[in-house]
Amino acid sequence: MAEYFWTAPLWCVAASLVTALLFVPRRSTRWVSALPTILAVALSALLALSAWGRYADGLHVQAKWLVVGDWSISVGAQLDGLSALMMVIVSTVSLAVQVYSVGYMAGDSGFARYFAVMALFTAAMLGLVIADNLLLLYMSWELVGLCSYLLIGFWYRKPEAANAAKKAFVVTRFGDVGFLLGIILLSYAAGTWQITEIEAKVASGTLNPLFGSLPQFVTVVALLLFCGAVGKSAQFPLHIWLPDAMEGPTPVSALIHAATMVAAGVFLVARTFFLFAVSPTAMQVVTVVGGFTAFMAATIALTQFDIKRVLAYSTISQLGYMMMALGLGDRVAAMFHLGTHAYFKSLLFLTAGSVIHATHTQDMREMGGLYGKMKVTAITALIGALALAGIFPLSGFWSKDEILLAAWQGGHPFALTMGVLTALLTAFYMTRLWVLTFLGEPRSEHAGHAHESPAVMSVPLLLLAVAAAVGGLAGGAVRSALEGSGEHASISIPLALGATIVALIGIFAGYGMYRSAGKEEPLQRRLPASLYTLLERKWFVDDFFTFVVARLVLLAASVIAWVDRHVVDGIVNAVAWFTGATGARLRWLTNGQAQFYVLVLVISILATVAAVLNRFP
Amino acid sequence: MDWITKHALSLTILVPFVTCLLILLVPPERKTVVRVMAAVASGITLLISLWLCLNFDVAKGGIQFEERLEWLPMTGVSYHLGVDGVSITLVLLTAFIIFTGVFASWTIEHRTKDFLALLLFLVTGVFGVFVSVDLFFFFLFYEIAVLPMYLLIGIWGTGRKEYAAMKLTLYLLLGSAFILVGMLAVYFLSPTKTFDIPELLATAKFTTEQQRILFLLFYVGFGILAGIWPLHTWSPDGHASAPTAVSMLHAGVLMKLGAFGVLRVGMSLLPEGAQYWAPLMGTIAVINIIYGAFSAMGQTDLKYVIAYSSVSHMGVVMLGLAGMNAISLTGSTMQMFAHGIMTGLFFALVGLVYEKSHTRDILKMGGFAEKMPGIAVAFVIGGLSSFGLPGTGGFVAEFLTFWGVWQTYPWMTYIGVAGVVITATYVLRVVQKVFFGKRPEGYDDLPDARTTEWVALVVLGAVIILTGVMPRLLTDFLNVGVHDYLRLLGKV
Repeated sequence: MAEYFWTAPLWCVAASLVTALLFVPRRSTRWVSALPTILAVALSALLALSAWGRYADGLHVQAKWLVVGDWSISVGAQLDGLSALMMVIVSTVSLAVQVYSVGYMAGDSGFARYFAVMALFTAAMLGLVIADNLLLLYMSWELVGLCSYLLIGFWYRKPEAANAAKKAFVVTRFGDVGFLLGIILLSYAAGTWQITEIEAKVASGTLNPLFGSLPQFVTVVALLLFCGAVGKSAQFPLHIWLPDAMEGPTPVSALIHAATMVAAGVFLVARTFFLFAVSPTAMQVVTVVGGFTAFMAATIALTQFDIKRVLAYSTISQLGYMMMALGLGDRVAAMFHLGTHAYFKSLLFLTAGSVIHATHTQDMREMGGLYGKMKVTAITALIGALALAGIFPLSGFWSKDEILLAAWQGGHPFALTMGVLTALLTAFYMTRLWVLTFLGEPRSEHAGHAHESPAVMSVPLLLLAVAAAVGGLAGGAVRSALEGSGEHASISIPLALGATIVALIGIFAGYGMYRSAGKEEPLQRRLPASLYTLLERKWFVDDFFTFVVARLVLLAASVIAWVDRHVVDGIVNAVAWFTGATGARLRWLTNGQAQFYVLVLVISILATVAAVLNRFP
Repeated sequence: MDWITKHALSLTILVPFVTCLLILLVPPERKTVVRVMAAVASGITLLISLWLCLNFDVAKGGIQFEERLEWLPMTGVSYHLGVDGVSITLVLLTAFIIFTGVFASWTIEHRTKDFLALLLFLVTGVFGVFVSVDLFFFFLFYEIAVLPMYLLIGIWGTGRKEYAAMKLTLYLLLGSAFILVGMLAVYFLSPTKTFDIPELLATAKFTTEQQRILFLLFYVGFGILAGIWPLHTWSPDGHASAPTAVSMLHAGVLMKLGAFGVLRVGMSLLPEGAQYWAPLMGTIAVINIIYGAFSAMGQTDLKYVIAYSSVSHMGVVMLGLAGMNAISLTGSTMQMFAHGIMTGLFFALVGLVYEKSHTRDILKMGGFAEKMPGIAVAFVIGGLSSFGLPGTGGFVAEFLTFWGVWQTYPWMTYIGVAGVVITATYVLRVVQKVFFGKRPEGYDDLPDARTTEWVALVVLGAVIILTGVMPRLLTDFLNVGVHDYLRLLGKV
């Protein structure tokens, strides 16, 4: 079965087509419209699990896609440890989310459309992780972006959703320009699009630098690729689209904007790690951007009241963590954390969806006291939150520890500081989220009448909670998949202990502060006003883009449109006017009177004769 | 049957022309008869074009399906037809656009018969240009294609139609003047005094000086039709005022005719001239891409947005030509096809939206997707191709162009790629304003596309995706065609 791993995306495409053609035109809301998608994703998950055991066999398929000049570009799929790991993560999380969606989206008039796009997304995401060449990787990369756009704007009648969808696409596209230029340069330098062939050339030093020296060239290419990763994985300063993307349905946020697509940037760096690894400059940039993003997003998460936005900033922060691990040279730690994060964060989003489903609000100030009414949701959310906070023995503890260990061993004080601070903040804001949502008294009528979601939603929660709890056991398997050796990194007891203490401090501080919180934000009283404003306004990055960049672009557009109408076309009209005016002035010459024409004729002849006589007397 | 297969290219010209004449015999009130006749005729040309593609020998290359009749031997003019790997795709493009254009014109009630007769006459000219390999007939058909435009816009147009019709016609005739001078110069400088392009390629030798001057003439002359900056301002006005099918044909096909003219006449006959001017061509093309995209962003009239997007996308075509290598030329010629289909779809959709909502001001629209989901989906597909999303023909074309041009002028790729972001911005802005958000008052019973209106949406939308997923359907033809041109340019 593993030989057919490459059919996984095709099944999902087929499911998408079937749904789009059969159910979407009828605006079907029946659960049967979800069936093709669920079946295809389930099949993909089976293929992924069977492929997981065979990643060492070097399975590879390809077909010629384009022949141009001396180039023939193939598209193909390759199975190795990295792609097998990603396949498992993508397909299993997707399966849980699809099943959950049947309950969450029930009755929505776009039910069938939702599943058609979700299937297409899963296809593109699977294509992205098994692509054997940079062009197919880039194409899938753009397609997941398209699906993200369609799903953020799923409730397109809401102006905020429509706006968020556009913002997400344009901002990530900004980074994609770098990505595209990077792969263009790389393809010429290596003479191929195949990733393994490029890797071999880099390893043997036969890559042909198109400019500068080989290290300089590799640095430039790596940084260009990193631009794409920054956009997709919502790293500073292109992170601004992800919080807005929460306008989409919550299961979409769980699958696309927490577990899979946003992790694609991390995956890209891991996939092209052979380039980054030989460029200290690029590694330094990745570490600093990742570390700073992790810290900045965590501080913003402290001040958000929208439950999904807290999780969104948390996602940005955790993606920064993964980037930082990559920059520190520890690909295993990054991918391990990507995996555990995929499960506990999608779990957290789905529990948030369950809460929103029950209370009809996303504002945590209007929740509270849900623990007694929604036990499954509350307990699974607690597992997710503790996993994210890095509490032993849940999955996040193990993967976060590896990253901190990498910072420690790498002797990178900045990364270590950012890592520890972020861990503290993470524990704090997750406690705040859980306490505000589930403890205390209900702070709104809806919250008072909330009840548990149906089984179709709670069963996926339970399954994801199991994965979030025991995912840490997979550490050795991830290491052997990526590096070929199964030994677990030596865990540093003092470091693990320190990290746990930091997390516990965050949890107790959060619990103490929010245990009896009402609608007021205690943090606002305790922090200096200017600092709180900085956090609440998200470090003003959003404002910068909205008021400076967007304004400038629109201004340029109006100026150019005006110049085109009034200057460029003005000249054209001026020429036409001049021609017309000249004609009007000369019109009396052709007045139609024969006498006048003869008169002009005679005068001309006489003048000519006179001139000739004068010249040749 | 044998006669038909031997004269397939003549048939692409004759079928619309004869139908045009037959339509004139039908009484004007029998509108359905006229519509069906036009649909059948354009359907036949589509079948012929597909047959040509299926029977084109990709392994052989060169000019195929040749027909030759001596017309005026003493002047060196002959009725000489043939298609190469590039022009065959443009014949197919024309057939797709006219076929869907006829259906998009189904609801025209004002002087239906005259409209369709003129439209078919126009198409006769367009097919003629793409299949002629004799400069005289090339020019003749070119003029046939330009002139009916004036009447079609002037009578059936909207807005400032008389102004737009006059501007477009005069501007294009200005271009023709350059071309005519260039053509006559080629004729008189050729050793055998001929208009026949294959013969000219074989025998004519132009000095470097001559090539530089002549190429500039052809570049400006054809370039006007291709919408090169700053000679593009006829295009937004013309395309915005023209009736739907005419915009489709004009932006979809005729602008390609300009670019194809630069390739077939300019670059292949005058390779040294082309190489001398290539940096200029490329620079102007980059200006087209960025300037056109920004201009499109600054518009509020839906049709002007699409019209300016053509100015931007034609920049990609011209940029690929300036790159002058196998990849960039394939990209450029692919973009001719991809943009033709895409902009044809766009104009068909804009026509539908306008017909149903009676406005073209995007600020007055909103939330239309709920009422016209089919139109919204088709618009998004066109938009995706427009900003080069993988899975659409536009991606393959733009990617190949930027990839190829990097070899020749890297900086042009660096700037041109940025245009893709600007394009995404304005396309998504239009999608958001028109189809998403809240629906203003008064649009509660907007209908979706109906019966014949689906033809353009489905056919063109399908072609966009098909060429994006399986680009070899096109590039296998383009490869051989481009190889021929590269040989003439001395690059192979």
